[in-house]
This record gives sequence, C-alpha cells and structure tokens, in this order.
Amino acid sequence: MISDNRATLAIITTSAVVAVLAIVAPLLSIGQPIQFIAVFGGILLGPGSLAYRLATGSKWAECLTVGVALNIAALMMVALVAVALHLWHPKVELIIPAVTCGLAIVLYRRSAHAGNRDIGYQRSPR
Amino acid sequence: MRYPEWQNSAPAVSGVEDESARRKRALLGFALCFLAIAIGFFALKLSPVTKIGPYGLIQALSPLYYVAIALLIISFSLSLRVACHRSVLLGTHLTILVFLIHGAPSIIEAAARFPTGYNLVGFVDYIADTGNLLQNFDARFCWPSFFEGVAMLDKVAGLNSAIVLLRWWPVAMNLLYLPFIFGIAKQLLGSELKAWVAAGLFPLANWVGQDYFSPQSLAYLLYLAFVFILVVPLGARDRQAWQVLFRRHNTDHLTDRQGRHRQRRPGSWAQPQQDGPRAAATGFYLGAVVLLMAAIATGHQLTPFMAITSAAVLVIAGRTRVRGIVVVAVLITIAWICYGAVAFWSAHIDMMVGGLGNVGGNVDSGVTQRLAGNVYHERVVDARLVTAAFIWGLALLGALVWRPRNGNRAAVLLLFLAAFGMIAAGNYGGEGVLRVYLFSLPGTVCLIAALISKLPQFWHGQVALCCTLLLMTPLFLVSRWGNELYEMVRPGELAAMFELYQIAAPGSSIIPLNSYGPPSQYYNAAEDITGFPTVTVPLTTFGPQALAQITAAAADNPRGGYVIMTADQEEAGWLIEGLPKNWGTTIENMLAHSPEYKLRYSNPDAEIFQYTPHPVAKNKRRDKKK
Repeated sequence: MISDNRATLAIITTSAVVAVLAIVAPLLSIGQPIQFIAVFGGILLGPGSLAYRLATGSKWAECLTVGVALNIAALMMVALVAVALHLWHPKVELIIPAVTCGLAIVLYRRSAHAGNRDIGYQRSPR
Repeated sequence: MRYPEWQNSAPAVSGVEDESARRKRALLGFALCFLAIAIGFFALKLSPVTKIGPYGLIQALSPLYYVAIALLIISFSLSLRVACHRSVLLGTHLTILVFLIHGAPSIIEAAARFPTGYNLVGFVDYIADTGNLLQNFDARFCWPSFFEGVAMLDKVAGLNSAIVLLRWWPVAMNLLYLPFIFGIAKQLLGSELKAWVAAGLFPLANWVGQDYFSPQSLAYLLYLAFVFILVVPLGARDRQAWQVLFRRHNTDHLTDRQGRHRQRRPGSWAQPQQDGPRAAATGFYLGAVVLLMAAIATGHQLTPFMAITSAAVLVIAGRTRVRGIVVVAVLITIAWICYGAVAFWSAHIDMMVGGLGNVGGNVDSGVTQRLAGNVYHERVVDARLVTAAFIWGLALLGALVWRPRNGNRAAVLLLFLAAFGMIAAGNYGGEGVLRVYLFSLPGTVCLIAALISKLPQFWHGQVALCCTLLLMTPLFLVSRWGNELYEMVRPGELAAMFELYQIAAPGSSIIPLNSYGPPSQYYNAAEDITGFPTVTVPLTTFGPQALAQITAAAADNPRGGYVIMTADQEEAGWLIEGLPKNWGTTIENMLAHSPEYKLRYSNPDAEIFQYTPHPVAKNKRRDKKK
C-alpha cells in the first residue's frame, strides 16, 4: 500500500496547505483571486473527506466525493446557526479550515505510526 | 452468466493484448478527448450570440460543436473497453462532456445566464451585508441555509457579490453530481462498466435546468450524497419488505428468521453478509446522513420530501441497514417546518396542502399549462415532452428486461418510481413535473444502463450507448437551452438595472411588464431589496389599454414609479404570452409619446421610463379617488 500511502500523504498535505491558506488569506486580506481560490479550496478540500477517511478507512475517491458534500452541508449549518443566534460574522467560517488542519495532523501522525500500512481503519469488504 | 463482459471490471478485448497496446488504446482515448475539447471550445467561441433564436442556443451553435460532441461520445463508448487507466479516461470524457454541454452558454453569452439566479444573488448579498433574513419578504428566506452558507463564503472570500459564481455554477454542480451517480449505479447495478454507462447518460439526460445558482441545485447534490451513503457504505442485501410481510422464504435470503446465515446455492447473489462497518464508522455514517438531511431540510422546500421518500424506498427494498433513518429524516423535516418555516406555512397553508392528492390538476399545471405561447415555444415544449418520454421509455424498457438475481431491480425501480409520488403532493408552482423528472434520474439512468447491458454482445452495448447519446444530444440542446432567447441575460439589461437603482428615489415602484428578466428583482445594495417595491404589470392582452394599465400601477405609489423594459421581457411576451413580435416597440412608443413618462435611460437591451404625473391627469385622478 505504499502508493496509497503516498496518495494519502499528498492529499493530507494538500488539504492542510489549502486550509492554512484559507485561514491566512481572509485574515491578511491577500486579495483576489488567491483569497477566492483559497477559501473555496478550503471548503472543497475541507474536513469532511479527512474525517471520512479517518473514521471509515474508505478509498480516497469515496472520501473526497462524500467529503465535498459533507463540507458544504457543514458550511450551511454553521451559517444557519450563526444567523439564528445573531452571531453573524463571516470569519466564523474559518472553523472549517481550522478543523481540516486538526484532522490533517491526526491523519499525518497516524500515517507516521502506520509506516507502510494503509492509513485509517480498514474498511470491511462488502 | 449470460453476458459476462458487463460484469467484469475489465472486459476482455478480442485476442491477447499486451501492455503497450493497452496503453496505446488509452492514449488514443485521451487524444480524442483533448481533440474534442479543443474543437468544442473553438466551436463555441465561433458561435455568435446574435444567432440565438426562438429555438434557443441550438440555432447559434457552430457545426463544429456537433463534431466535437460526436467525437467525445464515440470515444467514450469505445473507451469502455480500455483496460489501462479506464477510470481516469472515462472520467475525463465525462468532465469534458459536462463542460461542453452545460457550459455552452457560459462561453457564448456575455453575461451569466438565467434571471432567477440574479434574484437569488440578491438574497445572498442581503444576508452577506446584514447578517439577517427577510422571512416575510420571500418564502425562500424560510429555507435559508443555502443563502447563508454562500453569503458566509462570499464574505470570507472577499467577494463583493455572489454574482461571480453564476456563470460556472451549472458546470460545477453537474461535475459534482457525477461521482454520486456513478457510486449509486455501481452499487445497484453491481458492475463498474454499467455504472460508467449510467454516469455517461446523466449529463445529457439532465435537461431540466435546475442546476443554476439556486438552493435546489445544491440540495440535489446533498440528496445524492444522502442516497449514496444509505446505499453504499450503509447498504444491505436484506429481503424486501413485501417478502417479509407475506412470509415468502427464499433460499437466496441472507438470513433465516433466527438471524443465522444460511447455506447459499452456488451462484446465489446473497453471499454471506460480511461484517458491516465497525461501530465508529457506522456512527460516522449516521452522523453524516443526519448532517446532510439537516442541510437539505433547512435549504430547500421540496428536496427533504424526496430524501424521505428515497430513504423509505431503500428500506422497503432492503437496500439499507439503517431503517430508522426514515423516522429521523421525517423528524428533522417537520422540526424545521415548525420552527424555521412557520412564517411561510402559517400564511400559505392552502398552497402547501392544496395540491395534495390532486394528481390531475398537478399534471395539468406542470404539463398542459406549459404548452402555451406561440408556435416556436410550443415546439420547444414538445421537444421537452419527447425527451422525457424517450428517456423514461428506455428506463421502463430496462425495468422490463433487466432481471438480476440479486433483488436490486426492485430497489432501482422503486427509486425511479418514488419520484412520481411527488406529483400527488403538489404542483410546486407548476414545476412539479420537472422535479419529478430530476429526482427520477438516478433510477432512470441505472435502468437504461441495465437495458444496454442486456444486449447480446459487448460491442452491441457500445453501439447502443453511442446511438442513444447521439440521439439525446439534439434533444438535450433544444430542451435545455430552448428558452435561451429570454433566459439569457444581456449586459445592457444589467447596466440598466444598476442605473435604475442610481436614479430611482427610494420607495418608488419598479414596474416590469412581465415576470421575466433580471430587472424585476436584482439588487446592488442591501437596502435595495426592500427599498423598491416591484409591481409587475402582466400584459397578457395587448392594446390601447396597456398604457392605462401601466399608469394605474405607477400612479398607486406617491413616490412615483419607473417602468423598465428589457429584451428578455419582450422575447418572453412574444414567445410565452402570445403577444405580437413588436409589442415592446409599440409600448415604448406609447410611453415615449405620453406626457406622463420620461425616458431616463436607454441602451440597445433596455429602457427606463420615469412616471411623472401630468398636473391635469394628477388632479383628475385625485378627484376620481375622492
């Protein structure tokens, strides 16, 4: 599973880098189009896919596919709660890339422990 | 097995192929792909927007465009046999297909299309600017999570308006739908190849145009993810509910009544159930479906009901192990309606339940009433009906001939039929039938893929797929882009709208002459959304009384009014409402010659007239009121 490990490391690294950019870009008001790409990338490569991988050990293709939908759903719910509780501040959204960073660290540490083994729990064959 | 090639993940090609030959075939597929996108993009750049006519975009498309699409379809069908990098190759084909067919107007037209999208941008921008909702302003604010999510993203991304998202939104949505369609089809059809066929059919079958910047486009993505999780990771191979009810025992069944695994017949579909996902994974999946359901229920009015129906159907068909999800989905939906949407349903309870059970009336408003307008528009509507009939017909044929031994047929068929239940629930503003079609699509494409896979030889299936897609292409182009003459947005119309908010006094009425076109509701500042009441004057009949009708609407507001006329409105009046072709020019002349109207702004696509009551007329009206 070395190639899978490489893919895992590549995806974790990309997610983490994009998440950091997604946090830094709005805070520093880097400007367009980098800020736009970073923030949207931070949602598309957000915590959903990493959490999915961590919890289920599914293939990355499945994790990334479902992850996008989960990230969008999470964004909608965060925004809904923010408006409902009169806590509207757009930077609340930065919770999402922050969680991505946390999950990336967890997955990276697991990858370091796993060595050549696959990361995440093995999914049962169906 | 009778047709082994469709079951294999890598169908054998004639003779023994060595590695280099396989690579060459894959390389040829990629080359054809990139040739198709190059030709297609060039063709779209050559297609003049001015040639868009009453049949829509199809009249403007360069012949080279069809060459590109045909090349792509033929290459896709041939690539089903490719063993090397097949997933990447077929995925590339579908990405390019979506880009070329769903992105065509985005390349041809100067501004992002579809007026309603601009309206929704106004909602998003209002939330982004104020952090508040306007629940009594528009029913859609009662299901606000889509608007709030995009508003939050816009602000963080540093965008001034969500308008930049409009142009490529349909392409992005269709690309995001495809993996779920593929995953659901792969699970239910039991074959990767059939799943690719189903995924290949989807972009051309999805002509209903609900993928524009809107809550329903995103809710549909979440719905597909919801069904995917229920069917794939939380999937099951249990007996169907009716088998349990009628105590029909089959040796194929997974477990006996005591829950023990039985000995299967050789070749039986129901292999002993492997261990399911471990507890933590199951917990995660459940959390994921609840999150998705919550986002769906708070984001769109109709999609949660389809999610509930689909979940119920999967439980009945024994294809998901979480039977309780139906109850959870119902509770989430009801909870939101009772809490978040109370402002809507308390005032519109008749609208919500009025169409319940009125199947005839709902079909009438969704189909018959849409067969209105002039002869060109009727032909476009006819093309839509033919397309839907063709695709549903193929699906029904698939349901008749496809008889797998694993019981998935019932699940696919029920998933297909479940969407039709929606027509009994209401007409949804006359769009009920369109939504039925949209939600039937996952089942539909699975059944058509199953039909194609039943052909005796693998190459027969490839030819059938190729012919089906080639036939669907013109039908798609007319059905999807047939209304482009009034659904496209011209730069002049946007410029006029911006100008209107600059010149109009706050509180004055904005008077469009029908409900088509961005000027009816398009805002460039948060206060614009409520600051300018829109009074639509529906000119369904045309004559000398038209001016009096417009004036009556304008005179109602003491702060005055602005009549805005756009090319979209003129084309819609001609195509849909049966007005004469030159009705717009006639009205413009009437307004221009009336002492009560003053032309304030004009460009080739739009005009703005300010209502300034003539003193004599003003006094007469005042006396009349007294």
